[in-house]
Amino acid sequence: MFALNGNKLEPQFAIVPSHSIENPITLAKVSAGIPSDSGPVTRTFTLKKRENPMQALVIDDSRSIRRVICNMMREMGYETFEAGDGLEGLAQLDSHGVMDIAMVDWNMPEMNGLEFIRAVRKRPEYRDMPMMMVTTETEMENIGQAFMAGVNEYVMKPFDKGMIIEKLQLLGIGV
Amino acid sequence: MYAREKTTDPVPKGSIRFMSSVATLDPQAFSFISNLVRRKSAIILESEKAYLVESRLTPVVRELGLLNISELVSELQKPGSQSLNQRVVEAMTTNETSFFRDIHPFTALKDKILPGLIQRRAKEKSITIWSNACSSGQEPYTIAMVLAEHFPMLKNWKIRLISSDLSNRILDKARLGVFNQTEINRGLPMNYLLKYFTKEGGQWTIREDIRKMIEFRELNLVEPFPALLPKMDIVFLRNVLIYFSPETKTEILKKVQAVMHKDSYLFLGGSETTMNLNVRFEREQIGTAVCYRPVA
Repeated sequence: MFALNGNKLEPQFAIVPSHSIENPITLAKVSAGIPSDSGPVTRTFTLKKRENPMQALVIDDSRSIRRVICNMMREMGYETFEAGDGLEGLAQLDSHGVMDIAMVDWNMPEMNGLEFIRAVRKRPEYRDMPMMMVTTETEMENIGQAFMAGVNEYVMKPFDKGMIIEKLQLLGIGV
Repeated sequence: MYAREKTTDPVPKGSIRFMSSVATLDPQAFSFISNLVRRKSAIILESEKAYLVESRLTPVVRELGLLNISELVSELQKPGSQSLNQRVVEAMTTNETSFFRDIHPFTALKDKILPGLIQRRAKEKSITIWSNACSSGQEPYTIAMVLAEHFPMLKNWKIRLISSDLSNRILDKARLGVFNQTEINRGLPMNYLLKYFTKEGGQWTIREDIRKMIEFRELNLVEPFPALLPKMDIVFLRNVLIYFSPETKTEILKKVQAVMHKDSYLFLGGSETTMNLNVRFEREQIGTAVCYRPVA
């Protein structure tokens, strides 16, 4: 799944999310290194931010986990949208547009988190949307799979608000 | 590390549990503990830190099968209890930490400081970085991973990454480079996790070549520094000074400055500053990070 090229870990396909920020208020800048023949290339693109509150989509089949995450995000000033599985998540995106962050559980009925991530990355309009997996899956193989599917960050359950804040900071969309 | 920041303490001041802690912690026991900590580490525990004493020492009380902190204090006064005394000081002063803590210093390190130093030290081909009060090692390992990830050209250089803490017990943990899920969940980018760690059971171990980059040393900031401490190019002294008196802060900063070059960099914690202290440092903004430069 991963190729060690000198000192660089390179997925054999898919993007490599990394993180930087120019102005956390107006811009979220995400860089992606794309493996090519001449070695990793850095691609930079900019997500336009709305003037109204940042928006988070929270996808988890457990209503209580959704409530916990939504409360945390609202405390950080986010407007939150909920979905009970990947299909509902896609429907929320179709109704409300690109979010500033999607927090995605792995194991869910209908469409699981990994399938959701893949589906989102296939859609050009959502390809650059930051996504964070929040899951009980903790094996390296799972984390690698999620990485290859295009997830930007990974939080293992159980988690607390501090962990979420630190991961958002890594993505340059922190509070 | 030496002290945990107020914001990361599990029981915040003013909570219901805080009120009950104050009520249950015997003032004499608190005064004994705060004297002990002040004597051994120069850290001052004001009376509003009673909750901290209770939250940090309750696990020790339980482990020893004692009833409460007052009983622990009786144990501490018995002859031959030096190691228990040391244990209590460590429990009171060990910091909670995370990988890439506060992120900005590491961005500055990667984007500006190291590229500059690589040019200025091209002749010597030598850079020394000091991570102070390193606790369980997340800070020095973060620096080591940044070096490995972004500066492979330094492989032929003499890079010293010195990492020190007051507590030998916590250094033993840091030396192992083994982290549990909670620690891994805190601030570590997933691509670094995949690249620099292996998992066995519920534990993650940092890659051997990264672990070997770091020299771990026991060092008490309030004591004279070891004579053989090399000159440092970059010093991380974050969230350490907060609990010291202004006089002790000044003393420590003077000693730190004495082991810095003229063009070295000092990072303090987000809530710390050299302002109002009788030391000669200049504040410098590097991108989103704040660092301090020695003034001749």
